[in-house]
Amino acid sequence: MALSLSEDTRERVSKLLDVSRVAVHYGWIPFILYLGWTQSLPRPNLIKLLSPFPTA
Amino acid sequence: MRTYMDYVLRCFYESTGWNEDNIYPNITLTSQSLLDFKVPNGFGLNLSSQSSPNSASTYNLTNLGFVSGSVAYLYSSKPLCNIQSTKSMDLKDVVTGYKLLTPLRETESRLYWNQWHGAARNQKRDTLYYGRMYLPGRGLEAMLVRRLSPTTQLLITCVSDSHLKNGGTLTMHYQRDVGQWCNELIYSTNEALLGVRGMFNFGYHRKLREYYNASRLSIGGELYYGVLNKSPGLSIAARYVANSAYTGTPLTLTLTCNPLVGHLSTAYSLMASNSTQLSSRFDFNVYSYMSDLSIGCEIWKNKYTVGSQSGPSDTAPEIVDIKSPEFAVKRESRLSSRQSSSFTMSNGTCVPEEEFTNVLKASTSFGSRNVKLLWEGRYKELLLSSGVMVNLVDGTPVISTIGVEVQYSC
Repeated sequence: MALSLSEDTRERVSKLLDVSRVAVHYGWIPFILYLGWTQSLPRPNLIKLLSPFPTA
Repeated sequence: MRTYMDYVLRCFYESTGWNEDNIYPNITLTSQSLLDFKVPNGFGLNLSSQSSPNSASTYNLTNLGFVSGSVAYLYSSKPLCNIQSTKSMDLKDVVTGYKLLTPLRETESRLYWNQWHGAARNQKRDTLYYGRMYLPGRGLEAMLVRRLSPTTQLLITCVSDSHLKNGGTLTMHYQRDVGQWCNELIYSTNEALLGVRGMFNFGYHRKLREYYNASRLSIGGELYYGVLNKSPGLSIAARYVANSAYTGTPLTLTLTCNPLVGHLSTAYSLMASNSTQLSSRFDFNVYSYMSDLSIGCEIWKNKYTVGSQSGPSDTAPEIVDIKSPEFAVKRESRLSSRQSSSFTMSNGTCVPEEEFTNVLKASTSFGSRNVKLLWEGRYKELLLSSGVMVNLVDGTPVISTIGVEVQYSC
């Protein structure tokens, strides 16, 4: 039996997928920075973590 | 030249014991490095640093008539202590050239894969996260590498950009390497592509016993099918790596074939000396009878050899005992030793390692009638890469690509 979705449900699913895609797109790098800041031992300086410049 | 993040990824593979040479896409790596190397276009500047043993960052700036750039960040759950700055990193680790294959070894037992902290079991499922955002376009490149077991790895890559079809592509690779053979399952959201790759090493058990035997025959293939566009793809390849019977120089022979489009390609690469590598490749299409011959070489320039602080001398190189403590210290400092420039002999001696300062690459293709020249080297604490590509259309040389790239990391 084929699963049939109503037009509203399809629209909601499509919107949910779009929002998740945007969230991952803009949240991926902050997530990596969060891991780098919280999981590293010793915990690095936040400016040093963000910037590759040697003076920072 | 490899980017800093590529270098860090290689360090991750090395520290987690993953053998990059044993996967099918790298079967023609040597000839590709010598013939199909990339010439920088415009001016590029890369600034990188390792902010902690687990994380690294890179800023990139490119000028191609308009200024663009990217920021990249990386986190590895395993501390990467083998990363060097551009001042001290071995040039052979960042410049792709003749690939001396990593010796085959037995896979790690699951017993040692587990780390026990008291009564708690902690598996070494190391993970690497990488993200790069392009500016001003705001396109994203993301990658996740996760070791699942001593023999398996999951690799997920993603490109996300509003200008691309469906907003981007996600590709998943499930890789399994047991030494004797390696296989890979692939799924990509682009046209719902499904693929399988595999490679088999002949004489694997004999190789584990005979370390001095450098010859290896590998045969592999890949099969693709795009579910949405109903388009298949297939290729098979063989690679034979050995040392010359007379001179002992390493050589690599590869044969690749794509039966669907009728393409055949044979390549012969030779490490003529520690500083000179040559390669040639012949491509032929059985349907159109079109053919192409490509030749290329790379010449490394060394600063000095171990044990002699003066410049390169005309005398025969000094033989260093690999059991000596000096050699061990030098060896330890070069953790990325897979592309080591030394040759270890079966009698326990080793031709000395050399510290290379720059490399000149040249390649030409008779079919596409172009000449590529590339110089890569170190100047103080910077890694420089500059090159030019000249097209010889109608006998008139036209510069099609020219550029300089500067890398600095601390």
